[in-house]
Amino acid sequence: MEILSPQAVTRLWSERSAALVLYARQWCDAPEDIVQEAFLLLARQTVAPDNLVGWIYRVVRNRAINASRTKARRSRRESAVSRREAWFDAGGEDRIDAAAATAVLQGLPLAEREAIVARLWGGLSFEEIARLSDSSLSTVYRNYQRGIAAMRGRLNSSCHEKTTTKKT
Amino acid sequence: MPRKDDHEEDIKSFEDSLASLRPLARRLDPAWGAMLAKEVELNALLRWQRPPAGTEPAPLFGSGSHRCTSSAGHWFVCVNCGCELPVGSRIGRWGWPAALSVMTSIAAMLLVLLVTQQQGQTTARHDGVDGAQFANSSQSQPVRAAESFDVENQSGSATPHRETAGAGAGGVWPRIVASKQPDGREILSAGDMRRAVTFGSFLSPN
Repeated sequence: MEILSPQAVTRLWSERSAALVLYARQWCDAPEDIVQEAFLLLARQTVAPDNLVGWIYRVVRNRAINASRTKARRSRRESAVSRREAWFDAGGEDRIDAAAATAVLQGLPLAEREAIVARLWGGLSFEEIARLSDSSLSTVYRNYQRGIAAMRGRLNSSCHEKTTTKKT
Repeated sequence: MPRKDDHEEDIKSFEDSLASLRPLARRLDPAWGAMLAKEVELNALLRWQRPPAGTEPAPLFGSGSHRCTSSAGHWFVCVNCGCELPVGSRIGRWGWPAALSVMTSIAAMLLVLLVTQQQGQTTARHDGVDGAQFANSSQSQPVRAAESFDVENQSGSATPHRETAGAGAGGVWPRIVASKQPDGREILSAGDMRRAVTFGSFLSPN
Protein backbone atom coordinates (compact mmCIF):
# COMPACT_ATOMS: atom_id res chain seq x y z
CA MET A 1 0.00 0.00 0.00
CA GLU A 2 1.39 3.36 -1.03
CA ILE A 3 0.54 6.59 0.73
CA LEU A 4 -0.84 9.29 -1.53
CA SER A 5 1.56 12.21 -1.81
CA PRO A 6 0.45 15.83 -2.28
CA GLN A 7 2.94 16.21 -5.13
CA ALA A 8 1.38 13.36 -7.09
CA VAL A 9 -2.08 14.88 -6.75
CA THR A 10 -0.86 18.32 -7.77
CA ARG A 11 0.95 16.91 -10.79
CA LEU A 12 -2.08 14.89 -11.81
CA TRP A 13 -4.22 18.00 -11.51
CA SER A 14 -1.97 20.17 -13.64
CA GLU A 15 -1.43 17.53 -16.31
CA ARG A 16 -4.77 15.80 -16.59
CA SER A 17 -7.53 18.07 -15.37
CA ALA A 18 -8.28 19.66 -18.77
CA ALA A 19 -8.40 16.29 -20.52
CA LEU A 20 -10.61 14.96 -17.75
CA VAL A 21 -12.97 17.88 -18.26
CA LEU A 22 -13.19 17.02 -21.96
CA TYR A 23 -13.77 13.37 -21.09
CA ALA A 24 -16.54 14.21 -18.62
CA ARG A 25 -18.09 16.54 -21.17
CA GLN A 26 -19.12 13.52 -23.23
CA TRP A 27 -21.89 12.88 -20.73
CA CYS A 28 -22.67 16.00 -18.75
CA ASP A 29 -22.85 19.79 -18.97
CA ALA A 30 -20.89 20.62 -15.82
CA PRO A 31 -17.69 18.65 -16.32
CA GLU A 32 -15.55 20.96 -14.18
CA ASP A 33 -17.60 20.18 -11.11
CA ILE A 34 -17.30 16.47 -11.80
CA VAL A 35 -13.53 16.67 -12.15
CA GLN A 36 -13.13 18.72 -8.97
CA GLU A 37 -15.26 16.27 -7.03
CA ALA A 38 -13.18 13.40 -8.34
CA PHE A 39 -9.96 15.08 -7.27
CA LEU A 40 -11.37 15.84 -3.83
CA LEU A 41 -12.29 12.19 -3.52
CA LEU A 42 -8.76 11.26 -4.50
CA ALA A 43 -7.31 13.63 -1.90
CA ARG A 44 -9.32 11.91 0.81
CA GLN A 45 -8.14 8.42 -0.07
CA THR A 46 -6.24 6.59 2.64
CA VAL A 47 -3.88 4.87 0.23
CA ALA A 48 -2.98 5.71 -3.33
CA PRO A 49 -4.83 3.68 -5.98
CA ASP A 50 -2.74 1.23 -7.97
CA ASN A 51 -3.38 2.97 -11.26
CA LEU A 52 -3.84 6.61 -10.37
CA VAL A 53 -4.80 7.80 -13.86
CA GLY A 54 -7.15 4.89 -14.46
CA TRP A 55 -8.75 5.44 -11.07
CA ILE A 56 -9.43 9.14 -11.65
CA TYR A 57 -10.82 8.46 -15.13
CA ARG A 58 -13.10 5.79 -13.71
CA VAL A 59 -14.42 8.13 -11.00
CA VAL A 60 -14.97 10.94 -13.48
CA ARG A 61 -16.78 8.60 -15.87
CA ASN A 62 -19.10 7.21 -13.18
CA ARG A 63 -19.93 10.63 -11.83
CA ALA A 64 -20.46 12.11 -15.28
CA ILE A 65 -22.85 9.31 -16.19
CA ASN A 66 -24.75 9.86 -12.95
CA ALA A 67 -24.90 13.58 -13.68
CA SER A 68 -26.18 12.91 -17.18
CA ARG A 69 -28.99 10.79 -15.75
CA THR A 70 -29.95 13.68 -13.53
CA LYS A 71 -29.69 16.04 -16.45
CA ALA A 72 -32.03 13.93 -18.53
CA ARG A 73 -34.84 15.16 -16.36
CA ARG A 74 -34.20 18.74 -17.37
CA SER A 75 -35.75 20.47 -20.31
CA ARG A 76 -34.60 19.98 -23.86
CA ARG A 77 -33.92 23.67 -24.19
CA GLU A 78 -31.21 23.65 -21.53
CA SER A 79 -29.35 20.81 -23.20
CA ALA A 80 -29.56 22.53 -26.56
CA VAL A 81 -27.94 25.62 -25.07
CA SER A 82 -25.19 23.63 -23.42
CA ARG A 83 -24.30 21.90 -26.68
CA ARG A 84 -23.10 25.15 -28.14
CA GLU A 85 -20.28 25.42 -25.62
CA ALA A 86 -16.79 25.11 -27.13
CA TRP A 87 -14.79 22.03 -26.24
CA PHE A 88 -11.39 23.19 -27.43
CA ASP A 89 -9.31 26.32 -27.11
CA ALA A 90 -9.49 28.24 -30.38
CA GLY A 91 -6.62 30.59 -29.60
CA GLY A 92 -3.73 28.37 -30.73
CA GLU A 93 -2.30 27.89 -34.19
CA ASP A 94 -3.84 24.50 -34.71
CA ARG A 95 -4.08 22.78 -38.05
CA ILE A 96 -7.66 21.83 -37.35
CA ASP A 97 -10.36 24.34 -36.60
CA ALA A 98 -11.45 23.96 -32.95
CA ALA A 99 -15.11 24.72 -33.60
CA ALA A 100 -15.26 22.29 -36.52
CA ALA A 101 -13.53 19.59 -34.49
CA THR A 102 -16.01 20.15 -31.69
CA ALA A 103 -18.95 19.90 -34.05
CA VAL A 104 -17.67 16.73 -35.70
CA LEU A 105 -16.79 15.15 -32.39
CA GLN A 106 -20.23 15.91 -31.03
CA GLY A 107 -21.75 14.17 -34.03
CA LEU A 108 -20.03 10.86 -33.31
CA PRO A 109 -21.66 8.03 -31.37
CA LEU A 110 -20.81 8.02 -27.68
CA ALA A 111 -18.68 4.85 -27.75
CA GLU A 112 -16.49 6.19 -30.58
CA ARG A 113 -16.27 9.61 -29.01
CA GLU A 114 -15.26 8.19 -25.64
CA ALA A 115 -12.53 6.05 -27.19
CA ILE A 116 -11.11 8.98 -29.17
CA VAL A 117 -11.13 11.43 -26.26
CA ALA A 118 -9.62 8.94 -23.82
CA ARG A 119 -6.95 7.92 -26.32
CA LEU A 120 -5.95 11.25 -27.86
CA TRP A 121 -6.36 13.74 -25.02
CA GLY A 122 -6.38 11.39 -22.04
CA GLY A 123 -3.34 9.47 -23.22
CA LEU A 124 -4.79 6.13 -22.11
CA SER A 125 -3.89 2.87 -23.77
CA PHE A 126 -6.52 0.77 -25.50
CA GLU A 127 -6.36 -1.75 -22.63
CA GLU A 128 -7.07 0.98 -20.10
CA ILE A 129 -9.95 2.31 -22.17
CA ALA A 130 -11.39 -1.19 -22.44
CA ARG A 131 -11.22 -1.62 -18.67
CA LEU A 132 -12.71 1.81 -18.18
CA SER A 133 -15.68 1.27 -20.47
CA ASP A 134 -16.20 -2.38 -19.52
CA SER A 135 -15.82 -3.59 -23.08
CA SER A 136 -13.38 -5.72 -25.01
CA LEU A 137 -10.10 -4.49 -26.43
CA SER A 138 -11.16 -5.23 -30.02
CA THR A 139 -14.40 -3.32 -29.58
CA VAL A 140 -12.58 -0.28 -28.27
CA TYR A 141 -10.02 -0.42 -31.07
CA ARG A 142 -12.76 -0.78 -33.70
CA ASN A 143 -14.71 2.15 -32.23
CA TYR A 144 -11.59 4.29 -32.22
CA GLN A 145 -10.68 3.50 -35.82
CA ARG A 146 -14.21 4.07 -37.01
CA GLY A 147 -14.48 7.36 -35.17
CA ILE A 148 -11.16 8.67 -36.46
CA ALA A 149 -12.10 7.76 -40.00
CA ALA A 150 -15.44 9.51 -39.66
CA MET A 151 -13.85 12.63 -38.19
CA ARG A 152 -11.21 12.73 -40.84
CA GLY A 153 -13.73 12.41 -43.60
CA ARG A 154 -16.02 15.10 -42.20
CA LEU A 155 -13.24 17.54 -41.35
CA ASN A 156 -11.63 17.14 -44.80
CA SER A 157 -14.96 17.71 -46.52
CA SER A 158 -15.65 20.79 -44.39
CA CYS A 159 -12.18 22.16 -45.21
CA HIS A 160 -12.80 21.47 -48.91
CA GLU A 161 -16.13 23.27 -48.73
CA LYS A 162 -14.51 26.27 -47.07
CA THR A 163 -11.79 26.40 -49.73
CA THR A 164 -14.27 26.30 -52.60
CA THR A 165 -16.41 28.95 -50.93
CA LYS A 166 -13.39 31.24 -50.63
CA LYS A 167 -12.40 30.70 -54.30
CA THR A 168 -15.85 31.55 -55.57
CA MET B 1 -2.73 4.50 -56.17
CA PRO B 2 -2.15 5.35 -52.50
CA ARG B 3 -0.12 2.84 -50.56
CA LYS B 4 -1.05 1.40 -47.17
CA ASP B 5 1.89 3.16 -45.45
CA ASP B 6 0.78 6.51 -46.80
CA HIS B 7 -2.71 5.91 -45.48
CA GLU B 8 -1.35 5.07 -42.01
CA GLU B 9 0.85 8.15 -42.11
CA ASP B 10 -2.14 10.27 -42.97
CA ILE B 11 -4.09 8.79 -40.08
CA LYS B 12 -1.17 9.36 -37.72
CA SER B 13 -0.83 12.93 -38.86
CA PHE B 14 -4.54 13.51 -38.40
CA GLU B 15 -4.38 12.05 -34.89
CA ASP B 16 -1.50 14.36 -34.02
CA SER B 17 -3.44 17.33 -35.36
CA LEU B 18 -6.42 16.40 -33.25
CA ALA B 19 -4.30 15.82 -30.15
CA SER B 20 -2.76 19.26 -30.58
CA LEU B 21 -6.14 20.79 -29.83
CA ARG B 22 -6.20 21.92 -26.23
CA PRO B 23 -9.30 20.98 -24.25
CA LEU B 24 -11.07 23.97 -22.87
CA ALA B 25 -11.61 24.14 -19.12
CA ARG B 26 -12.43 27.75 -18.39
CA ARG B 27 -13.90 27.21 -15.00
CA LEU B 28 -10.97 25.21 -13.71
CA ASP B 29 -8.61 27.17 -11.49
CA PRO B 30 -4.96 26.16 -11.95
CA ALA B 31 -4.26 27.22 -8.38
CA TRP B 32 -6.75 24.70 -7.14
CA GLY B 33 -3.97 22.11 -7.35
CA ALA B 34 -2.22 23.79 -4.41
CA MET B 35 -5.41 23.57 -2.39
CA LEU B 36 -5.62 19.88 -3.25
CA ALA B 37 -2.09 19.35 -1.98
CA LYS B 38 -3.03 20.96 1.32
CA GLU B 39 -6.10 18.77 1.50
CA VAL B 40 -3.94 15.67 1.06
CA GLU B 41 -1.52 16.85 3.76
CA LEU B 42 -4.35 17.57 6.15
CA ASN B 43 -5.88 14.17 5.59
CA ALA B 44 -2.51 12.57 6.22
CA LEU B 45 -2.36 14.37 9.57
CA LEU B 46 -5.82 13.27 10.61
CA ARG B 47 -5.53 9.78 9.21
CA TRP B 48 -5.63 6.79 11.52
CA GLN B 49 -3.48 3.84 10.76
CA ARG B 50 -5.27 0.60 11.44
CA PRO B 51 -3.37 -2.61 12.18
CA PRO B 52 -4.19 -5.68 10.05
CA ALA B 53 -6.41 -7.11 12.78
CA GLY B 54 -8.29 -3.84 12.91
CA THR B 55 -9.00 -4.07 16.61
CA GLU B 56 -6.96 -1.31 18.17
CA PRO B 57 -6.73 1.91 16.20
CA ALA B 58 -3.72 4.06 16.97
CA PRO B 59 -3.09 7.64 15.91
CA LEU B 60 -0.53 8.31 13.25
CA PHE B 61 1.42 10.38 15.76
CA GLY B 62 0.65 7.90 18.49
CA SER B 63 4.02 7.30 20.06
CA GLY B 64 2.76 8.53 23.42
CA SER B 65 4.90 11.65 23.44
CA HIS B 66 2.14 13.67 21.79
CA ARG B 67 -0.46 12.67 24.35
CA CYS B 68 -1.98 15.70 26.04
CA THR B 69 -1.70 15.67 29.83
CA SER B 70 -4.32 18.30 30.48
CA SER B 71 -6.38 17.42 33.53
CA ALA B 72 -9.38 19.09 31.98
CA GLY B 73 -9.37 16.48 29.24
CA HIS B 74 -10.98 16.90 25.85
CA TRP B 75 -14.36 16.48 24.34
CA PHE B 76 -12.86 14.74 21.32
CA VAL B 77 -11.87 11.39 22.74
CA CYS B 78 -11.08 7.90 21.64
CA VAL B 79 -14.34 5.99 21.44
CA ASN B 80 -12.65 2.81 22.62
CA CYS B 81 -10.94 3.84 25.83
CA GLY B 82 -12.52 7.21 26.62
CA CYS B 83 -9.42 8.15 28.59
CA GLU B 84 -9.47 11.76 27.42
CA LEU B 85 -12.80 12.56 29.05
CA PRO B 86 -12.87 15.64 31.30
CA VAL B 87 -12.72 15.05 35.06
CA GLY B 88 -16.31 16.14 35.52
CA SER B 89 -17.52 13.63 32.98
CA ARG B 90 -15.39 10.92 34.54
CA ILE B 91 -17.02 11.54 37.93
CA GLY B 92 -20.44 11.83 36.39
CA ARG B 93 -20.02 8.52 34.69
CA TRP B 94 -19.72 6.70 38.06
CA GLY B 95 -22.27 8.90 39.87
CA TRP B 96 -25.39 6.87 39.38
CA PRO B 97 -23.89 3.45 40.25
CA ALA B 98 -22.50 4.91 43.49
CA ALA B 99 -25.84 6.45 44.42
CA LEU B 100 -27.58 3.17 43.68
CA SER B 101 -25.15 1.24 45.93
CA VAL B 102 -25.63 3.66 48.83
CA MET B 103 -29.41 3.55 48.56
CA THR B 104 -29.41 -0.24 48.40
CA SER B 105 -27.23 -0.47 51.51
CA ILE B 106 -29.48 1.89 53.46
CA ALA B 107 -32.56 -0.07 52.43
CA ALA B 108 -30.95 -3.35 53.52
CA MET B 109 -29.99 -1.88 56.91
CA LEU B 110 -33.50 -0.60 57.50
CA LEU B 111 -34.93 -4.00 56.64
CA VAL B 112 -32.59 -5.76 59.09
CA LEU B 113 -33.49 -3.27 61.81
CA LEU B 114 -37.20 -3.79 61.21
CA VAL B 115 -36.94 -7.60 61.33
CA THR B 116 -34.81 -7.50 64.49
CA GLN B 117 -37.24 -5.22 66.24
CA GLN B 118 -40.18 -7.42 65.29
CA GLN B 119 -38.39 -10.52 66.57
CA GLY B 120 -37.58 -8.79 69.86
CA GLN B 121 -41.19 -7.90 70.44
CA THR B 122 -42.37 -11.44 69.71
CA THR B 123 -39.79 -12.98 72.06
CA ALA B 124 -40.71 -10.58 74.86
CA ARG B 125 -44.39 -11.45 74.52
CA HIS B 126 -43.71 -15.22 74.59
CA ASP B 127 -41.44 -14.82 77.58
CA GLY B 128 -44.19 -12.99 79.45
CA VAL B 129 -46.76 -15.68 78.74
CA ASP B 130 -44.47 -18.62 79.57
CA GLY B 131 -42.80 -17.16 82.65
CA ALA B 132 -45.64 -15.39 84.43
CA GLN B 133 -48.74 -17.36 83.61
CA PHE B 134 -47.40 -20.90 83.26
CA ALA B 135 -45.36 -20.99 86.42
CA ASN B 136 -47.38 -23.92 87.66
CA SER B 137 -45.81 -27.09 86.31
CA SER B 138 -49.11 -28.78 85.99
CA GLN B 139 -50.23 -26.09 83.61
CA SER B 140 -47.02 -25.68 81.63
CA GLN B 141 -47.79 -28.48 79.20
CA PRO B 142 -51.10 -27.67 77.66
CA VAL B 143 -50.57 -29.74 74.58
CA ARG B 144 -50.00 -32.89 76.51
CA ALA B 145 -52.93 -32.14 78.74
CA ALA B 146 -55.15 -31.69 75.75
CA GLU B 147 -54.57 -35.30 74.82
CA SER B 148 -57.34 -36.22 77.18
CA PHE B 149 -59.83 -34.80 74.79
CA ASP B 150 -61.85 -37.17 72.79
CA VAL B 151 -60.11 -37.19 69.48
CA GLU B 152 -61.22 -40.52 68.05
CA ASN B 153 -63.58 -38.75 65.75
CA GLN B 154 -60.73 -36.73 64.30
CA SER B 155 -58.42 -39.64 63.45
CA GLY B 156 -57.73 -40.16 59.79
CA SER B 157 -57.70 -36.48 59.00
CA ALA B 158 -54.48 -35.53 57.31
CA THR B 159 -54.69 -31.81 57.73
CA PRO B 160 -54.74 -30.00 61.02
CA HIS B 161 -58.01 -28.35 61.85
CA ARG B 162 -59.61 -26.50 64.70
CA GLU B 163 -62.00 -28.36 66.92
CA THR B 164 -64.27 -27.01 69.52
CA ALA B 165 -64.78 -28.45 73.01
CA GLY B 166 -66.44 -26.66 75.82
CA ALA B 167 -69.32 -26.32 78.03
CA GLY B 168 -71.70 -27.93 75.64
CA ALA B 169 -69.47 -30.96 75.05
CA GLY B 170 -69.19 -33.18 78.09
CA GLY B 171 -69.43 -30.37 80.57
CA VAL B 172 -65.86 -29.11 79.93
CA TRP B 173 -65.38 -25.49 80.79
CA PRO B 174 -64.09 -23.11 79.49
CA ARG B 175 -64.69 -23.47 75.80
CA ILE B 176 -61.36 -24.47 74.24
CA VAL B 177 -60.38 -24.12 70.68
CA ALA B 178 -57.50 -26.37 69.68
CA SER B 179 -55.68 -27.20 66.51
CA LYS B 180 -55.10 -30.85 65.95
CA GLN B 181 -51.94 -32.00 64.21
CA PRO B 182 -51.75 -35.14 62.03
CA ASP B 183 -49.60 -36.89 64.66
CA GLY B 184 -52.28 -36.46 67.26
CA ARG B 185 -50.87 -33.48 69.14
CA GLU B 186 -53.04 -30.47 69.69
CA ILE B 187 -51.97 -26.89 69.80
CA LEU B 188 -53.91 -24.41 71.83
CA SER B 189 -54.22 -20.81 70.86
CA ALA B 190 -53.03 -18.02 73.12
CA GLY B 191 -56.61 -17.03 73.89
CA ASP B 192 -57.44 -20.54 74.99
CA MET B 193 -54.43 -20.60 77.30
CA ARG B 194 -55.35 -17.27 78.75
CA ARG B 195 -58.82 -18.49 79.50
CA ALA B 196 -57.46 -21.68 80.95
CA VAL B 197 -55.21 -19.70 83.27
CA THR B 198 -58.10 -17.48 84.25
CA PHE B 199 -60.37 -20.38 85.07
CA GLY B 200 -57.70 -22.63 86.52
CA SER B 201 -57.47 -25.84 84.53
CA PHE B 202 -59.13 -26.26 81.23
CA LEU B 203 -59.28 -29.98 81.66
CA SER B 204 -61.57 -29.90 84.53
CA PRO B 205 -63.73 -27.04 85.65
CA ASN B 206 -63.60 -28.47 89.14
